[in-house]
Amino acid sequence: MQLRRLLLVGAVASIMTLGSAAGAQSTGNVTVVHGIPDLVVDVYVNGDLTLEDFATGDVAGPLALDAGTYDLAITAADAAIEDAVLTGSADLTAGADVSIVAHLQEDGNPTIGIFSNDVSAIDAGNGRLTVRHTAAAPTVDILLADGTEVFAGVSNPQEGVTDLPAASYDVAIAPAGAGVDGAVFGPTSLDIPEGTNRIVYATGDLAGGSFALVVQDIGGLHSAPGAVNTGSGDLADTNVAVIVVAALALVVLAFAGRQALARN
Amino acid sequence: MWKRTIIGTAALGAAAALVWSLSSFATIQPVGSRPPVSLAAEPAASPASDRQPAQPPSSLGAPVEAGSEEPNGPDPSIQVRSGRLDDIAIAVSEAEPVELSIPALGISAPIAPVGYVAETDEMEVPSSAGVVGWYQFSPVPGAAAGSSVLAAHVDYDGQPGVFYDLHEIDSGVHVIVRFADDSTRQFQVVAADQYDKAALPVDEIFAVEGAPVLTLITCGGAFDRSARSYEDNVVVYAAPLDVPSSAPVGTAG
Repeated sequence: MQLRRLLLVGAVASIMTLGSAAGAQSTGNVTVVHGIPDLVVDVYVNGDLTLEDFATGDVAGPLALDAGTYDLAITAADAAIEDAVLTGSADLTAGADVSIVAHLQEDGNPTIGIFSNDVSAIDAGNGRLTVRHTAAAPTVDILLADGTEVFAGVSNPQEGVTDLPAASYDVAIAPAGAGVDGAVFGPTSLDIPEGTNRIVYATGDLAGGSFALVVQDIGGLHSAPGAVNTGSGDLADTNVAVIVVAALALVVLAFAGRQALARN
Repeated sequence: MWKRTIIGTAALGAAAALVWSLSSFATIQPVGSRPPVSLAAEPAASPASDRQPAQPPSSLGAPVEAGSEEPNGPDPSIQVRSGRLDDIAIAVSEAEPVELSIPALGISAPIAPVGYVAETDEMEVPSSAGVVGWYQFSPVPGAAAGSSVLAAHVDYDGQPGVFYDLHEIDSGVHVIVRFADDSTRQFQVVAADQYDKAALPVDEIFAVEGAPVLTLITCGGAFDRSARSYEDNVVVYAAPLDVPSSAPVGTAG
């Protein structure tokens, strides 16, 4: 059914990529995410079949690609490229890290979205959570099980990004303002690994029952602690030992001197 | 600094609007009316044998082979995996290290996982003279890559710490780590160094990639009374010796 709608819609999405220009790099990283429910596709890049039988929930990449413009075409699996259901083009900037996401818009129509990923270094002990609303669903809040708002009022195709201590969190998604008790998803356990940007896509059609979370991880963003302090006393201070020895020597000398005086 | 404020509604909206406008999800058009796509980098129309593409789209698609009748296949080098939450949630649970033994120094002590103290930008260390802290964001000792970091006090609260004698360790000495599942892993000391704390090579010591190494850290040098801290770090590097042993080894004496 979804496929039928896709074929009927058959769209051209023209895409400009984001991305900060980086110095020496001549390539950018591209990850492809499939967030359209119940549809197996083939993905063509510049006319070449690049991903075959790419299934809902699949994540491909990252690919290091030369900066430049790429033509994308998404077809139903095994269909000819001429019968593409979604096409578009992407300008890739050197040094950029982007995700190309086939997903539903809020009204259920498919589209190709492009997101710029935050790959800046993460402080030691922390991970990064990126949440992207790419589902046929209304505006939502992202909450912790205790009701704490992580991101409020996120609409398709908005995102929220935050760094937080690496740990496991119980996360829920609720219609804006509905609170945890009104959650349409979760609370469910979500690990935030240290030094990783964990990107969570809300995908599918909430009303149609195909709502699902898809996860893309970008690791290697970790930072080292600045110091290790493993001593609180001066027991192991070599300088102190010298002083103690010197002090002892003085005592011995003084004692010897007094003895000598006493003998006189 | 890590406390990047969670983006509030307004800020999120603004940021997202920016992303949205820059992303430029342009007007959806019927396929039939789309302009001819530019295939500048596509050499399919000309014989591929007589030239190199000026800008080969690296990794994208299989190279066009001269005279090949086969259509291009998908690139097998592209990693494709399921991103479904249920699939990624099945985390591989590695047994945590629970005991460190260095028989040559008479050391045998429990290991506890420790984290990071944002306020001081330091690795957390145990509040005990007798416990070794494993930096839980470093690889498990014996992991395939990276530096697994174990730190212990040289002294604490007036008592000698587990690593009081660490600076006396020699090359070749064996270090044994026991894990929660009672398996053990042996390491052999390959190097030791003493660094001014300000010059501690933290990026190497806390590397999560590169050759596997077990890194033991404590304090040393002169004690700075005003800072209540030693001026140096003593760092010992040990390389994994063997394949993991599943049989318990009598390390605790």
